[in-house]
Amino acid sequence: MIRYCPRNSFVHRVSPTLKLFFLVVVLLLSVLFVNLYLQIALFLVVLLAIFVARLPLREVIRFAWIFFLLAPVMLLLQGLIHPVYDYVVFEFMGVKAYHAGLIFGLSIAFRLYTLGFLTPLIVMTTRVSDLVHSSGKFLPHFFVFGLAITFRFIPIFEEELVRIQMSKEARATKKSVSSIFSLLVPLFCNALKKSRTMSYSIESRGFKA
Amino acid sequence: MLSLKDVSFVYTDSNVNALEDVSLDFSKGEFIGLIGGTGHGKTTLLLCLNGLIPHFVKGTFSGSVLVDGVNTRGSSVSSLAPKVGLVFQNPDDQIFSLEVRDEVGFGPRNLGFSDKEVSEKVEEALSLVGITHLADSDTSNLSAGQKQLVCIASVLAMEPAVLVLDEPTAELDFKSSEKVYHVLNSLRDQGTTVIVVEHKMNFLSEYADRIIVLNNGRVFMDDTPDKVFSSVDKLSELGISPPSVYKLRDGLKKEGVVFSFSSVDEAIKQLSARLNK
Repeated sequence: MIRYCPRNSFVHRVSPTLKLFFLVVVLLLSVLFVNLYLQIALFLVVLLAIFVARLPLREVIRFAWIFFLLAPVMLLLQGLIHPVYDYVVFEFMGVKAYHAGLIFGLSIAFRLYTLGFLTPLIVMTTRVSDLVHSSGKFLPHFFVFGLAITFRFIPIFEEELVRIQMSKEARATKKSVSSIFSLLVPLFCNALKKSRTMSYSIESRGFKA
Repeated sequence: MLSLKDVSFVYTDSNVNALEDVSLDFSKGEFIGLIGGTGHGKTTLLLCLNGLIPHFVKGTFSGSVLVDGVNTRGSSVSSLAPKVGLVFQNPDDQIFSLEVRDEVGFGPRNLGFSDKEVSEKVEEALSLVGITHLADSDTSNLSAGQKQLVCIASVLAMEPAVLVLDEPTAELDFKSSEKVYHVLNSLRDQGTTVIVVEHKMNFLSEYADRIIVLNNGRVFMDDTPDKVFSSVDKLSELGISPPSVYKLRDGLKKEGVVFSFSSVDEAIKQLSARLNK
């Protein structure tokens, strides 16, 4: 789980509203266009911001590892199956990789890298409370209220999941796919219980008054 | 101030009375300890005090609860909020804001106070519980004791005349529990009625003016801490363990040695005086 990483950097000091705007712009550009140069440029901007923010690279990569894994796969797949067959760049065991496919795959790969790095960049440089406060300027109150509760509950459920996991392992439960489901049941029940008490608490503090 | 008359309640999914003909009166500035075994109606009673029962919790409710003469049956929970504040057992089930200031300001904001007034009430509530320095902290970074104090402050910010707490120290260590009780004691001194459900009897024997024992949804005992905790055998039958000093006093009495101490300090004085004779 990535969390806010306190640093005294320019990126940390940028207003959360501006960061949200940056996030939306990068997302839109990245998703709407497949131009390789644009994708590389976006990736470099995000990477530069990560360096300026002095974020621990190990933490960033730990979050983005799945994108690192997906990117070469996408590159190869697009290189091999892209429908534009202009000229062959290389051939391996009878399978031909075409130039247009590889360029397209490369652009998809950079898109994945950008997306993978963008999330930790925003989350690790912005306090969640600041982010929620900023959203309150342009989103309806009930939505921001829900958003705040969601963010508040993430670490609680994370701790609870670890606790349930430890309790299961302490009773010699072996790790398997089905054991994941057995973790989810108590987690879900606890969540329901928590939401009931929270609704009592919110009601008791004059909500809807 | 707050009175219950013939209150009974049965939860929808049960056929047992969680509360049965409970009649009680609470005065201004009283510190009341509510004790009893698990499932004997303590939390249900608390939920009745601010109208969550019958408005929010499903079940069959009879009798009446009057807060300052106003029947809870005819008032919404939100309109009773400034009169009766309720703090639940687990802070993590109550705190939903990301910052302490927002959490504490939630109640006053709901009551329609201006931003300036909300800010003043937040400062005041935080200072009452002694956590002004945490105003801008992230709620997720607080210790369990600090979270509980935030919960108390978030209710105090609405300036309720009655403060009701359901096992406020259940998740706290001794030091944090002691701090919570110091805060409650000073609130009582300022005229707030404090009603606490508690299993740590030592705190109640030290701070409470009155102890109410609930058993099977009925009021079993209602008296001063000294009188209630002196009934060691009766309490033991209910599965309640009185403070150790009372057990010691009771044990000595059964051996024919009578003492009147009700705290460790008094016990030390009286026992050493007797032994030095």
